[in-house]
Amino acid sequence: MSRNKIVQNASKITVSVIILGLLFIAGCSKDDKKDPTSQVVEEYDRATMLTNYADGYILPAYNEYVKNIDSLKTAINTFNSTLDINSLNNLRTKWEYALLVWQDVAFLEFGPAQNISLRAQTNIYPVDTNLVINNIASGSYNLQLASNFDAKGLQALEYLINGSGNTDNDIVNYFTSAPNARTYLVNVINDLETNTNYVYNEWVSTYRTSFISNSASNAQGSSVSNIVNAVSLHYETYMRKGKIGLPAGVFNGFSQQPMPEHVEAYHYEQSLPFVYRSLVSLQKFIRGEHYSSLVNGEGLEDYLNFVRAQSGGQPLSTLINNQFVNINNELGNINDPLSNEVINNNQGVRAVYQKMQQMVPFIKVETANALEVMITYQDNDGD
Amino acid sequence: MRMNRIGILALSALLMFSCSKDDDAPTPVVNNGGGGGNPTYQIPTTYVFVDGSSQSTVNFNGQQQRLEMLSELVVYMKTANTLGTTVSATQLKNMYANNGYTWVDAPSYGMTGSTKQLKDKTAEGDIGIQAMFENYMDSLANISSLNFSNSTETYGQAGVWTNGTKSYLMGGNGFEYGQLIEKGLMGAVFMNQITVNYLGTVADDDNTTPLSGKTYTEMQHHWDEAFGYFSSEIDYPTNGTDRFWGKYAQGSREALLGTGTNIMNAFLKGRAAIDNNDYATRNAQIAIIRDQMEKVCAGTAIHYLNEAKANITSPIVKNHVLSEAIAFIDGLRYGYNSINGVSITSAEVDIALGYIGNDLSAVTIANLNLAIDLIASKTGLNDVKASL
Repeated sequence: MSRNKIVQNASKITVSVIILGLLFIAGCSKDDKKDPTSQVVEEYDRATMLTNYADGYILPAYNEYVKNIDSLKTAINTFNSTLDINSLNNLRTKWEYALLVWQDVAFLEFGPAQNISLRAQTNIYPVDTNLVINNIASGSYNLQLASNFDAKGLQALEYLINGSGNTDNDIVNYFTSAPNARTYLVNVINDLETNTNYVYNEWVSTYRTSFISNSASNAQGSSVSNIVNAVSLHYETYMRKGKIGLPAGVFNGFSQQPMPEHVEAYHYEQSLPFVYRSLVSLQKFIRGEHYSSLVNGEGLEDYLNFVRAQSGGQPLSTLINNQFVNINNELGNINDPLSNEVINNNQGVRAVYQKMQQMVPFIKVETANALEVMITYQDNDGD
Repeated sequence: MRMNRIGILALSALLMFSCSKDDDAPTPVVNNGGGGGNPTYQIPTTYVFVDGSSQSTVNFNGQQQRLEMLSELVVYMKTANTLGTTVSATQLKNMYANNGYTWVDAPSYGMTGSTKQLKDKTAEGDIGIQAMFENYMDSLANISSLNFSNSTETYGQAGVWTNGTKSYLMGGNGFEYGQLIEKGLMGAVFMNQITVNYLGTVADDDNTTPLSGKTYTEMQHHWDEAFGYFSSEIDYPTNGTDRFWGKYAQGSREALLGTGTNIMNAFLKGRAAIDNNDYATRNAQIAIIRDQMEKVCAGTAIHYLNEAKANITSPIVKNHVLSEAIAFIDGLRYGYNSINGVSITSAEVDIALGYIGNDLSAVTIANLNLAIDLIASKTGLNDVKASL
């Protein structure tokens, strides 16, 4: 472990000197080569990494997402004016693209996205189909209310274009006979568009600058802390648990009863493409790879290598990359529809969950420790 | 390890000031804050002050009692989070007014039958605010008696809301009265007593002659009583971070603003200043405490509003943290800065509460952000509001 090495290096320096050195790091910028631990973490060029993240990944990814939401909106308008199976299939294709690209940005829940709780407004599942039906029937609803978040977003569209009838003909007929349902599609996509544009425009206009300049430390509220916390929370809660563990029944502590209706894109009957995509994009991000090219810039992986973060004698970055491979391999053993698989091949799904679980300490504990970031997202007071 | 580092960074941030002026002479760690020059006298690191005969001059038993009373009240209220447990409005009010109630009094403060109580110190004795808290107690008792399990987390159904891992007694509108009472009394009693009552009057106190039969002067005693409402523990933050202001001055508020450290240091420094008749330094600490207490209160409110956004799709968690946020926001109006028009006004507190509303099913992200923005802009927290 790197900490042991550091402790050894530091052993000849008296404790008081270390403390004094720490005391003056923030206050005085010169002559502070007292503490090797913070030297390594502090010496890394965070601004370069943050610039690479903003320009190489985040802005292009959000831009791509904006474009896909735009295409989805066009497809909805086309469907509403040409109610047939062709335009329904076109709408489904554009919807799938949008949900795939959403995976690329879903874990960026800090700054503008966090400000409007973008994830909760975009992709809550399972969708509350009763609430969707009631809203459509009444024609009176406010999608801004938190109580409607599970009746809007990409999963509400998912239900309406895949699950509102038994056959494609039934679905087309449903929309043909229900103007309120057509209006609902428009209201949902407009809401998605508003939120998406807000986040992208904030990044372009002001947040990119403050994100890069917020590089003085890894303390709570710094950009590095925000990234590590966001990645860890998203991976642990929305990928490991949300996409796999919850539907597999892992979180039903006693009965372990599967919850097939909790899979992502339940009515579409294909969930795994979104699992794969979420893993690919998260790995790209951790590695510092650019969104739309093969350029590999500075990322968390490089920061971990810079501080020589190790676990069990191996570089932490290697362990993380290997684990992505392990998860991917295990995913190859299960099939869609995931809602069937959690019943018929529950052990296979659980095996994926186990591989995903093994990644959690690498990110939440080891990465956070190596970069001296405090995990703050479970800062609940427990009462 | 990482907590230590943050604490050290906070200390070093405090020292930035001295570094920029004089790199060769580090200031003693406890000598933080502005104003009053650099005292030549000793400032202790725990709240221990003695007279020439080494007799302690510190006493805040009345405050320790009231903190413990609220702790016992909280324990009793939380029994109602278990389905089937009914709490009595009469007992709640008897505890509030220390009216014939037999306390557990684990620390042996002498609470049972004492003259100390929470009610008469609520908002400087304002009967309207006392009635507000007693109405909360009636509501709490009333819905606890319904014995209703709201396991679907459905609005309009008062009772014990539960999601399998958390259970809270809440009204049909999502209000958790236990939180409104606990966090509300922190503002209406503790913060008000600290920032308005005691720190507002010490300047007029005698500081030459010990009170009859005591080892301390009136001014020393009143300063100690202010401290006692912040923490019942003289070695804060080694102890005392488990409840009330000593607890909420930690967390993201300590990490981002250094509130727990700043408040404790100001109490220590101010008391040492009083012992040495250094009133300029004492006054500077009063301003620090008032400002930092408000930042804890406002910062905690924003913290819970951020938590509500992060848990926006979980009704029970959202209601729980919003109930806490409501109480902390409401509490702002009992602080010195608000009362004196230095920061957020009572009318602005009402506006912020209006954004949340009385029906937590109708909350929107946009309105939560309006509340956060208003509170942050009025209390100097714009730079940290997203991270609190």
